[in-house]
Amino acid sequence: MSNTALKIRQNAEELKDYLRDLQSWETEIKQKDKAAREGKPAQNPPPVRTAEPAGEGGERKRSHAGMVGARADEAPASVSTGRPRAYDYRAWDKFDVDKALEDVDQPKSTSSSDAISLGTSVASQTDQEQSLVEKEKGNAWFKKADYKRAVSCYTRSIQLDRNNPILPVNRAMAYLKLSNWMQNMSKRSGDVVLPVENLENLQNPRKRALVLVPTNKAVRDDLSKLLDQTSQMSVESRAKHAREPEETARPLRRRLEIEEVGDEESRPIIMDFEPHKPSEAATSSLPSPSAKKPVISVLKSPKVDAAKAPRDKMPSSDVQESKPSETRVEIPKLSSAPNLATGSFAIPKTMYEFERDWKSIKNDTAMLYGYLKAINPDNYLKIFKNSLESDYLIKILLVMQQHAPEHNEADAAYLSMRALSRLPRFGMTLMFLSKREKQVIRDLISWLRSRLGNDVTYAQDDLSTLEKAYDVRI
Amino acid sequence: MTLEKCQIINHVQKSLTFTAYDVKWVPSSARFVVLGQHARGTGALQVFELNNGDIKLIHEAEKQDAFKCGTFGAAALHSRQLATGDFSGRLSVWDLERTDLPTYTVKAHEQIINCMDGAGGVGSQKGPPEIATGSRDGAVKIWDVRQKDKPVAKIAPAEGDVVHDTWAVAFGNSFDDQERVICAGYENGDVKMFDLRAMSLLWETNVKNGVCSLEFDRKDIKMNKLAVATLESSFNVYDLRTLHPEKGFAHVTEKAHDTTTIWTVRHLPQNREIFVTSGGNGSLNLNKYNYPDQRSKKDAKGRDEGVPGTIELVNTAHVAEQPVAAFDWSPDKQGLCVFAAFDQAVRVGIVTKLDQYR
Repeated sequence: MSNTALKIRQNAEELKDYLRDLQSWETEIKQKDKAAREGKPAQNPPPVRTAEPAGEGGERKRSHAGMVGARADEAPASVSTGRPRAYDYRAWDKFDVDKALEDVDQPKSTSSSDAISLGTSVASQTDQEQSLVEKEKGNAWFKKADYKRAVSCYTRSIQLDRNNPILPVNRAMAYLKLSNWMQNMSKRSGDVVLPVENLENLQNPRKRALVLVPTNKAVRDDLSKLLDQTSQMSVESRAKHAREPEETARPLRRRLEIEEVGDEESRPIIMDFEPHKPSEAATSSLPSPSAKKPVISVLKSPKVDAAKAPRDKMPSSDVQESKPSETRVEIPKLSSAPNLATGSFAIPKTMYEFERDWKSIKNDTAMLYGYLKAINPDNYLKIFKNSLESDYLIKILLVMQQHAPEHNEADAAYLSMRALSRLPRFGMTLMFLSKREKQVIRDLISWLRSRLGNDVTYAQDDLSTLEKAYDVRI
Repeated sequence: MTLEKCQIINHVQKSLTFTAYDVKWVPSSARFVVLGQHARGTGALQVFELNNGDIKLIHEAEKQDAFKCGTFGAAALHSRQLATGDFSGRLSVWDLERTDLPTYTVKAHEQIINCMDGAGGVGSQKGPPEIATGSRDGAVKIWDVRQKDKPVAKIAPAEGDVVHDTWAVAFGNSFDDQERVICAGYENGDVKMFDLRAMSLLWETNVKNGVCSLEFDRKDIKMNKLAVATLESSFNVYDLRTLHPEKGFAHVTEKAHDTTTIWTVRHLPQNREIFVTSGGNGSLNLNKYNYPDQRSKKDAKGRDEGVPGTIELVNTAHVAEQPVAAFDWSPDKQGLCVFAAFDQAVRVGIVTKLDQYR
């Protein structure tokens, strides 16, 4: 019994000790607590566990029944990519490193001279992608002025993708830099299949403008330098030719295959450039096609000299009928229209195209007139929709006022004006016109009136309607 | 009489105005946090501090949803932010100095978060700081507060499978920066151990009763032992050093707490062979695991097989009239513990003479 009492006493003593101990611990730990609070963050902890592939929503599903199902659907995924997932350590155990290294080395050995690594895995790329990679390598070497390597890269690139027109041009540029463009010419055989790519044409500056639309300044500079050495032509004419694309001196092709790109009907349309009679439809849609008019012809590629096509027999409405996707308007010089400069524009299909072309020739009213005439008034609605601003309206009218009389084309002017007046929000646009600008309209209409009875299709009533539409009284 | 043995003493008791579901010591401090639910259903978070033989409320916050569980397992020492799981399935991380807004919050589960554990923080600074949450929706998700909105791993029953509540989760085997396992216990008695490095199921078993609590004896060592407490008064301790291809881990089973639920099992941070179980009858049992002479042996086919040890009940103490739902050892002071029972009181306990088992 005394033993028990002793033990109880001992336990009490023990507890007392512990509590005393606890007291000192308490003060100690509170200091530690304070220090910890003011302490600095520890070094960076290990990174976040590998993120799961997005395909599984970043989450792993595990069946209660076991892992078999989950594993099974995972296995093919890692096989298909050829590379186990980063977290799939079991798969990594089976991963044959030597084989993988060999795979990586394989493409490298063919291009061992290329020290530029793009960090892309090349094994699974298609030829086209590979071609682009080679091209990029080539560009890199080109920038480093190592043209030989650039050429070899471009060559490989061409072999991989023969349809890319940039590649031969790039390679040619590299050859140019190597100053052995003669070699380029001799090597060109065989691998050159595109119409645009051979530099032989560069000997003829007239062709050159078509071969390369020189957008790249460096290329342009180099080309003109090169041509300085080789060409017989004067510097001025060259500069002029380099600026504006021009008709080629190629022999006339009789048949032209037009590939429709944007249209639903993708069958090629064979355009016959043989002289033929204007159709009934053509006459009705565009009244009195005259031999003196600027002619619209259809070009698929700049190779074809459309200007040489028998222009006086080409009804312009053909253009509309065949709806070629790359319709071009040629406004050649004509004796009766000396002011008309040579130019080539696509008939605009959208306001954007219209604005772009318009801006590029806005200082040449004669050209603008030719351009305007190329647009069928029936299509105004499609092109302008409701976005024709007063600036354009007045400019169009001004151009007509200036040039319609000299070409004696009252009919066309009338049709244009009528079409314009039927555009949506036309009345609103009119309200922005100043008095002087209204005067232009007045002049135009009075000129139209003066032409009444001179073989025109409109009548007095039509003009009154027009006046009303344009809100002018004469 | 067990007078020579460790004594479990109820040191300080404090009544609460809410039901406490979890208590946790703030690492490296004399403070602890009590999480729970107010009668009106809101979440209660209170921070107490030991103060000359008493405990003092030093901080209090009330949040929209009741808190079910919390952990400092992933907290860095300087910030010691508390991660909590609430009844709405939201995981939040709080700066205890400023609890107006959580520093991290995510709708982790569709339903209540029953349990959580952390690793990679104070005391076990190996591997990334991660928080595991287990929910009534049957899923276990691993979160890294450096990654917003998305768990770094998710372990969920496949679509269409029967969903069982996840009642307990625990990290373990986090002895270096890569290795880590998560062990989850479910209401149907399933215990599943997942290797987070390989993202694969390592081991699973069924203990025939809902798993209320499980804990590795240490998080930051090569996994050694796992204690699993169940709904109907039995608990198992698994020896995790030897995994037999057929029999799995060897284990020993004990009965305790008069056929009531064993709510928690917690290993003494200073001595991993000693652990406490808290019972539905309001008692605490102090147990000691004794290793066998040989921890592994060869089976008939020459394969390694684990040998279970024995469990010795060191002492028991009746500390409350209601189930003791939460228990936590102080990581800094051996023998100091805090526990909360459903009688709306939190108690600081002392276990003496633990030194004798060193």
